Amino acid sequence: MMKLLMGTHAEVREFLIKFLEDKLPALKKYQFQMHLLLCKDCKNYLGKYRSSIELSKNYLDDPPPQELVNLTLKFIEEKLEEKKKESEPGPYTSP
Amino acid sequence: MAVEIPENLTSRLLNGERDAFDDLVRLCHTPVYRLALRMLHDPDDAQEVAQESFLAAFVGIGGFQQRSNIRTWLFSITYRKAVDRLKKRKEEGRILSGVLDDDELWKIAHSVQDFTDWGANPEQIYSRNEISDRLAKAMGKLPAESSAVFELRDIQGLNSKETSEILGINEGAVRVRLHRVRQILMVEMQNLFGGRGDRS
Repeated sequence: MMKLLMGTHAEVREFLIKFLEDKLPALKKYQFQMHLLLCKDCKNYLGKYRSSIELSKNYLDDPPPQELVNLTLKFIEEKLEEKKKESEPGPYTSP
Repeated sequence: MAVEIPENLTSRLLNGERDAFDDLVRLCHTPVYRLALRMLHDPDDAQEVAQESFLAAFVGIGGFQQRSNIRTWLFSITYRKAVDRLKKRKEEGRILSGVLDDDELWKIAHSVQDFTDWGANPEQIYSRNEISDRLAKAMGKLPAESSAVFELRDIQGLNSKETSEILGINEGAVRVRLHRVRQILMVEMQNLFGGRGDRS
């Protein structure tokens, strides 16, 4: 009966992403929330899971050097110029 | 936060306006480069893949079907180019060491059962660079596809549907891979911040 009301530890961990995306069906969501109310370990786990997402964003989000944009623009310009030259007819030579 | 491409930029691109393409590069270079870097772990390779991706987009814009948005289309070009680069590395015998298979990742993901207090500010213990390096090192153990899922979902803020379109896998597979990456990073943070003094 308790399992039906609040789900299991394994289910909580399995459905974490869907819970955070608010994509769980109503019954599963209810079981999930009930489980978190009563289970300190899973509540702690969810807290750490959320923290690690935030910390990842904070520590793995360094912007690349700005000059790379200019290098890419220059690269494309050069490549397009090459293509243009390739498609141009060569100098006229009489048969 | 996911970069948004204004509607008028899409129509200018489809009209073949050259300036529009420069605008697209300026707007999307960072996310494109970062997706490549996350998969390849090499700044030079990532820049080359970014350049090739924009060039391919420029050349192929006529074939853009508008079934997805320009951003998703551009990212899928980048993803495929990065996968090709990895295949090329493999052919050349230049494989990055330390990439773990699913079983090994599963073991790491479940290696910590009790998560202790991480403290209010991790930077009181470690420098920002130290933390970034440790997390980047943990990311280096992941297969490229999982790294791409993490970059697109958690760093760039795309949803599971968009990510699934870019990678050509279903949404369930996106969630499974994302969950695994988050678990790996969570374990790494527990080792760093959980009071173990693990500086390995």
